[in-house]
Amino acid sequence: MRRHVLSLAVLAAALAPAAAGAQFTRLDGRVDEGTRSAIVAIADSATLAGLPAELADKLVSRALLGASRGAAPGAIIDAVRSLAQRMGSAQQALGPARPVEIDAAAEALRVGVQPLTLSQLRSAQPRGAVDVALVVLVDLVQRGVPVDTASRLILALAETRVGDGVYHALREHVARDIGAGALPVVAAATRTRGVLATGAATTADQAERVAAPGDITGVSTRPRGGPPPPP
Amino acid sequence: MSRPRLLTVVLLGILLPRSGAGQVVPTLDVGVASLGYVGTARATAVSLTPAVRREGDHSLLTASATFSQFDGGDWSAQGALAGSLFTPAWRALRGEAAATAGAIAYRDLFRSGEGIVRARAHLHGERVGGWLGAGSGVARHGIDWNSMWLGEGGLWAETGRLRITTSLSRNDLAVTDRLLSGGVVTRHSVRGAHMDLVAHASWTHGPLELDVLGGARTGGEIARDAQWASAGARVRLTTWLLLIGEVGGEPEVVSQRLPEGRYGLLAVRMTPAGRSDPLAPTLLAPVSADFVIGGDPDAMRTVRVREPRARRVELRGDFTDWNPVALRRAVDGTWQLQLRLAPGVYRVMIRVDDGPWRPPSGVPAVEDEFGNMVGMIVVR
Repeated sequence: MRRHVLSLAVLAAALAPAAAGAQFTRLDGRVDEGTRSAIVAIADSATLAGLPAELADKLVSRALLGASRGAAPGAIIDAVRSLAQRMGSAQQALGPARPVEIDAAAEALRVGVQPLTLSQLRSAQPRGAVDVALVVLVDLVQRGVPVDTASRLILALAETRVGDGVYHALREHVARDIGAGALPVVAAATRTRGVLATGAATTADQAERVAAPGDITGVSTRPRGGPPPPP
Repeated sequence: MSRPRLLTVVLLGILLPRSGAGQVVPTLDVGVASLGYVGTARATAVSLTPAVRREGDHSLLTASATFSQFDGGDWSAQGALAGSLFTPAWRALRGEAAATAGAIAYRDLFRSGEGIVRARAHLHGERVGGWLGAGSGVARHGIDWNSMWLGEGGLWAETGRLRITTSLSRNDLAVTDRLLSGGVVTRHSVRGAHMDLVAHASWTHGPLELDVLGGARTGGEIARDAQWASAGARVRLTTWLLLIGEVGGEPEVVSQRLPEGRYGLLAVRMTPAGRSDPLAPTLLAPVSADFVIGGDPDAMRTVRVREPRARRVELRGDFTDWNPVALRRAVDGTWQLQLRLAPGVYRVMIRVDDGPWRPPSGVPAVEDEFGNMVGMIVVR
């Protein structure tokens, strides 16, 4: 038995570097050798600095995104280095966090969200995941909602412990309002007030509309009851 | 307690503003209408319609009033109040208690009105649903009260920008009739039922919304067989201004003896400037399902993309190393791809019919470091 355990340990030790380096083989043929070396170095440094090893995979993916767009090697390296730095900052601001949260938080930092907001978000939801809240925050900022306002609104929702479905519903409706001509800041604030005022739905299925049959024709503007019927 | 009084109590219980928070949207319509009713000359009217709509977490209330000035110097006034209370969802079911009340006056010649209470059960799917309901009400025509019992059912379906609703209703009426015989007016009650089948389709694209409605009635002792149709268009000109056009026919309102007729109207609807459509998400449509990733972490995930008119759909993202992968069309019409995906945040783009790469509809998006918009999805 002891021999089997020892064999497994030796096998695992032998395979570990190969597994860790497997993600870098994805770069083969996609970027030049210099770019590849730089990305490997950035990923190794980030892992040594304490980032979860899974996030090295995200760094490689970002490089591949740049390569698919035909970006210059320098631009690819800059993007990957910047992402690694933001991931480090995000991890520091969030405290204990899953890789998916660090990934989402790094994107939030890129659009201008402050590290303090990440810390406050974690405080508001110490046990729950904040990845969806962060992704929706990024989307709101991208749609033109000022970053301070968007941060404040998402924090207000997080403090009421709403479910992921509410964040998705908020994003969807704000996008629809903006598409209909509403100011982004007004749309986001109004929709968030709507959620807060109604006690906050906690599941996605509460975001269903009841199709009232009376809505078939809606409120008509035409006058009815013109001349009376003949006797 | 008499029936009208009992109904009044129920109506007020549902229609009176409920406590708690809600969103209120006032509007003002100004329009011109051309009307022609059976047995009367065609008339043109200028109308003013203030209305207010209030949505709470489980309630909906609308109130409107219309004052119309006719070209011959006559006028009419009408008001309507409608409210619904909804139960929380239980699986795919929700209950509704609804009430409507309305009244019409034409100069000092004619008065009518009615109040109806209903109960409905709604069954919801993602893109289809239906309801069953029953109700009772009273209507006043001149000086006589009529009573009615209602039964109804309907189905709705959504596909892309199109929404289709069909309904079938039965209306059992007991109306008071007056006969002049030998110089003496006698009152007697007549009972009868009629059935209405109505189909409605609406199509929305950006600021434009088109509506088509058609109906058919099987009459009986009181009502005549009839068919009617109408069409309308709404264009949102600005955040606060909506242009409305409608033309068509409407059936007789048997309970109030309002005759069938034809109409055309043009109106503008104004809402307070700068306001977003302030509906709470709790009463709105489900989150867009144009892009869905199903499955669990230990099994193959299925990516489903709803692009019903596409001939080819491709996808690329973190999980394909940004290499394009073609999706296959499934029997339900969606485009699908199966792959292994660990929980995480992924960037993704799709391409339809060799068009430009873009974020999938209905998912958060961000501009990446290389100047393009990408979708962001969270996989659990």
